Amino acid sequence: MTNNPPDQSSQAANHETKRIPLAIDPNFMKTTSSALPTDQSDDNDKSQNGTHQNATTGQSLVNNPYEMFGSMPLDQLIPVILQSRGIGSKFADLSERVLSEEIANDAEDMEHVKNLDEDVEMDSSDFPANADQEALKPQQIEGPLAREEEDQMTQEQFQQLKNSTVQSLNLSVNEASLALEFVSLLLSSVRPSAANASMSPFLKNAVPTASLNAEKIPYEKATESEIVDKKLTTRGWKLRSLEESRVLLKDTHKTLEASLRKEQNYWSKVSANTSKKDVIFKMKDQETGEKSLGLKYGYEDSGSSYKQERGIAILRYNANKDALEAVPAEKQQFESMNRGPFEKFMRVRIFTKIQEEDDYILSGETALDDLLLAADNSGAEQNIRRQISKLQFLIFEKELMYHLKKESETLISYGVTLENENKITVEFPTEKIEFEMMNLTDEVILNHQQDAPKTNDRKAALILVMLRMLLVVMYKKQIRKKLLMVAHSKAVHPFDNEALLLRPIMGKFRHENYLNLLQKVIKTYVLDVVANSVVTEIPSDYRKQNIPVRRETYDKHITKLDDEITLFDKILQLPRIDLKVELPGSGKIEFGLESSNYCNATTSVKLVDASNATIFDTRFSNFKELEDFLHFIVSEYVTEGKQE
Amino acid sequence: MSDKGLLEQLNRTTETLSHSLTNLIRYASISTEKDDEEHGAQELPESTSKTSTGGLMMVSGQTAQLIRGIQDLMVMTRNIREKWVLTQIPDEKADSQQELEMAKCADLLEEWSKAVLGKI
Repeated sequence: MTNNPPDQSSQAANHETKRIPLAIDPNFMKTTSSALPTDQSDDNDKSQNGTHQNATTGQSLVNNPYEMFGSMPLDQLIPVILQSRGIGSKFADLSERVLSEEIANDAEDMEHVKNLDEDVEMDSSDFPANADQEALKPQQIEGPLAREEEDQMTQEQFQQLKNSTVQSLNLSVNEASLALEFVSLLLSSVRPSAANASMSPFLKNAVPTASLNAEKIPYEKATESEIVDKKLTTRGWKLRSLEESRVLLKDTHKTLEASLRKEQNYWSKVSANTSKKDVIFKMKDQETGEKSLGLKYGYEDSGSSYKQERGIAILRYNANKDALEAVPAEKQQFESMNRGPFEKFMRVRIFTKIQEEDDYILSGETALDDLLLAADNSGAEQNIRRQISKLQFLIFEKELMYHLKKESETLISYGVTLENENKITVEFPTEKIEFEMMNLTDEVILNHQQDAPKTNDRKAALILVMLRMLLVVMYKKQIRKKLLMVAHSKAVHPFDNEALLLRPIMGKFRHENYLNLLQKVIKTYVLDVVANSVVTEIPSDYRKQNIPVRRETYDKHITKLDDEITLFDKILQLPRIDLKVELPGSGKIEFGLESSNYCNATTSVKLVDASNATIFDTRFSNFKELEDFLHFIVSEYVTEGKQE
Repeated sequence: MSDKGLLEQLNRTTETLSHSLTNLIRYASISTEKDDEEHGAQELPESTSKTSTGGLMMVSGQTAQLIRGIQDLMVMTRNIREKWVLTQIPDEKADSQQELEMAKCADLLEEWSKAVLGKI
């Protein structure tokens, strides 16, 4: 690197350049080197001519006349050219021919220079200078091309090489300056003045001097025992952590195995004890917060419309008993609301009136259902199916009571009293029937087991069974209604949507009583008066009329349902009986006893004379009136006629 | 979750399981440590604090991962069981509901009326 300023002597500068045949455009040098701030600042300090900073930096790398002159404006360049060509020469004299001659001379000159060393310089002061001036341009344009041809190198390869060279140079300059900075900084703590001289201003500004220090630390090779020691500690730690891991894994394994076993038991029990008929779904156990399975034991899907209780139990696994437990989801909530015990069942009691006394005696009582008995004797309590059955039984009983209560509200005028929310009493002339929800407690169970059999036990049981069956019939009707579209379900029966539990049964009793009464009346007013008269019951074709026409288009399930429902028509139909009293010689009287709502009674009386002409056809809802009327017609038409 | 989802989850879980187990075993081995020393920081055991904290963290981390993986698998079995129980409970002895004999039932009902009314 030469740092000669060109102003010192153009001659000397020219000579320098002459010795370096430029193969590359120094402009590249200039641009790349300008990227180094340290160089720039260094050079700035030293170079006096600073017309153009780039130019000076370019000079600092190589003495490059072309770059200097090339960047000159023409009005400066021409005087320089003239000056270098010597005094007296004119710019106008310069021509291509003259210049090429000069180049040729220059080539010779070069050889001269080689042979004679510096001697040629003496020959003329202007010529060589002139020559090199002119020689620069051709060399730059033509020289490289010529070489390229010689070296069989393509332009691209050349460019590549050039670029890489420039880059490497750039890099090395950069690295070197960095190294210089580093050393300077390091030195600044001991020899500030020397360091300051070589430090770049940027570094001086950015880093305080004497801020870097270095010291030599001798490397002590670890002794054998130390290495062994360290290894031991390492392995110790390793062992310890592995041990911890082992313990952790073992503990987890234990707990997981336990829960896995529990899970396994649970699911095998579920699979063993549930069937397609069960409604099972995912559910969260509110008590324990675990994910669990819910089981529906309510009758909602079977047609029940009972909404007081959802009828859902959680299938819970009891690890102690190794058994499944069905816990009603609402049990806790129910009991916490102080609504009495969750488990209730219905008991039917029959009281018979003591003659001549205004008191009743218990004559019949329903027994406890087997399901309700504590099954500790057989161990069947363990069985989940039994538990489910029990739950089903209990909810059924509750629903039964619910509907009974609703139904009895309308029957108050017929001797039905709602004594409290758990008790309904139905009074008949000779007896009283009590429907009561009993809390399922051990005491109740014990009392029932000790009870002695009574005369009306069977009757009470039959009534209770019929009540249950009628509720099932209600379910079935509901299902049928759902199955048939709304359009089809024109109410076949007026009581289709109502609760029909107590009324049909009450109707049976009341009808029987009315019938007895009617027969008594007939006996007193007809049979006893008219000789040889006979009462006969006319077999009724009433049932036949009521059987709906079988619709063949129905699904077989609906047909089956229909059959099952019509089976109960005998029970559910409104009671009716027809009696005929034959009056020898004077026609007959036909009686029809029927009820429009199971509980009341209307009697139709039809008097037909011997010539088969109807004389009277009336209805009575009052037996007193009926008596009077009978008395009248018998005396008026039958006995009168006979006397005549 | 679909069957495909379950399968994917199974693959994922088993992979993490084997991965963490491998890591644990690799860490536990001493011979590999020697290999490292031969061409690594020769004769220079790692610092105590590094081995202790690093080892502990790594071992406990991998162990936790192992455990979590197993737990995941168990949750999966639970899921599968729920799927099963909610979709296909085995059929139990065909239709156990016997056919009603209509005539007989009618007779029984007739009998009921008589019994209740005290005609028998």
